[in-house]
Amino acid sequence: MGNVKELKNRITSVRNTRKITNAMYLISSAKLRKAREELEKTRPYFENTETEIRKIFLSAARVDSEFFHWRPVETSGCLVITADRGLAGAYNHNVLKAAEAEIAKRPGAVRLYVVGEYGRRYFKKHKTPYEGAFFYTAQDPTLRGAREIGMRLLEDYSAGYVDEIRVIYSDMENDVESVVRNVRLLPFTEDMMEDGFEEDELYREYRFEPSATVLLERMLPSYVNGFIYGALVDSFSAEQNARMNAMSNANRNAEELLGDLQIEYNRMRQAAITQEITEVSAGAKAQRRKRKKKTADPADSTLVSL
Amino acid sequence: MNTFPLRIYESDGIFFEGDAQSVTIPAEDGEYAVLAAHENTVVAVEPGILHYVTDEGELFYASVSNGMLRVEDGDVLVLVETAERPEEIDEERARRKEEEAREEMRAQKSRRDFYLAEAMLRRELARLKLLKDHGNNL
Repeated sequence: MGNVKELKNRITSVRNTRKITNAMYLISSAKLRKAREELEKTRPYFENTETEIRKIFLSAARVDSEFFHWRPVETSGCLVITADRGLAGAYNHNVLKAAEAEIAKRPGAVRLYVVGEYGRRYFKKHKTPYEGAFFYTAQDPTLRGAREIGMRLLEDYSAGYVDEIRVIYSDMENDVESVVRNVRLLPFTEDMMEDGFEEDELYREYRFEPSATVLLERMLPSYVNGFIYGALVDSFSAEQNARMNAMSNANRNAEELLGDLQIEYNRMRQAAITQEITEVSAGAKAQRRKRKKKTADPADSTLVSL
Repeated sequence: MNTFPLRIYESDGIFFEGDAQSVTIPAEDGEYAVLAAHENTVVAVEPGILHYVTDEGELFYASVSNGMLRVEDGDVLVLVETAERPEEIDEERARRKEEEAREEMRAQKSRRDFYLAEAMLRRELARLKLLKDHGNNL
């Protein structure tokens, strides 16, 4: 009987785990929707900002800004966006692999700005130095958080601590699969300006007030913030999606396990019942035999009992 | 009066989209006004008060932060980090924030904090000015 009780406990615990994984699935999908909606609202501003920066740059005769000219890269700054927690399949692993590849390209000359607790723990464990005072969670990406990150990166770039800024983040390729992207954000050089535009869309004559350089330097932080915000939300979406997949797999496994356990439990219960019936009927038989023994000839008794 | 298409976008949404007779922005050396058929221009927007007149002749005010205004073939686009109408501003909050910003500028922890505080102060000042000049005597 102890075995049956054990099995029953096991079924209850699997049921409870399934409740948790199911809740995590639902939470993930709600969070995903909310983050997407927030991002959607910011699109008109940031998309236009990027376009205008390109147009200003291409129509300006001269731009004297460190943000728009390439300089020899001695140290590269990498913003690596990971999740705060695991339980999201290969999501964190893929991002960290891309970060490791970038570090391998410039050993000892990469400054890491890590978003997310998982990534920080990983680099700590592997004794890879990263920016300690840089402390942002991957949960609930906000424009405000993106602004602070952007400000910090621009400041380090201006101070010459880093000569380029890269962002390593995840993006949804389609509804199911996500990919890791490694994008250079700064300097924003000429070869990046023309991507995805028709030539006559970009080359226009403008009068600049006060000057193209001032305008570009004013709008660049907005572009950087917008990009970082987009990357945070895309990564967050990919994370939630990975977690939803992991959780729905867990749900399916729990379902299967529960089925198996239930069958086993039913068998055991049936076996216990059969045994009880056997015992009861054996007991009744013994009683009957006893009664018969009193009346019948002792010589026949063995025959009767068989 | 001639009108032109005007779009005002702030970082977390669309502030205004429609036809306008004029738009005036706070620029580096005073106000900068744009009417229909303005030449192709890009102007830096300073934190301050922007106003525009819609095609129906209605005048609207808004406090804005850093950004730019662009005129291209008669189409006018204003991109600012934040834009607010007088009725959206909470005077108490703006005053408190103004005080905080001043406090932080005095503390001057680092260059970055200083710039953040300065930007915040200018924003709050613009908000308060808008309330004072164009608020509906809230």
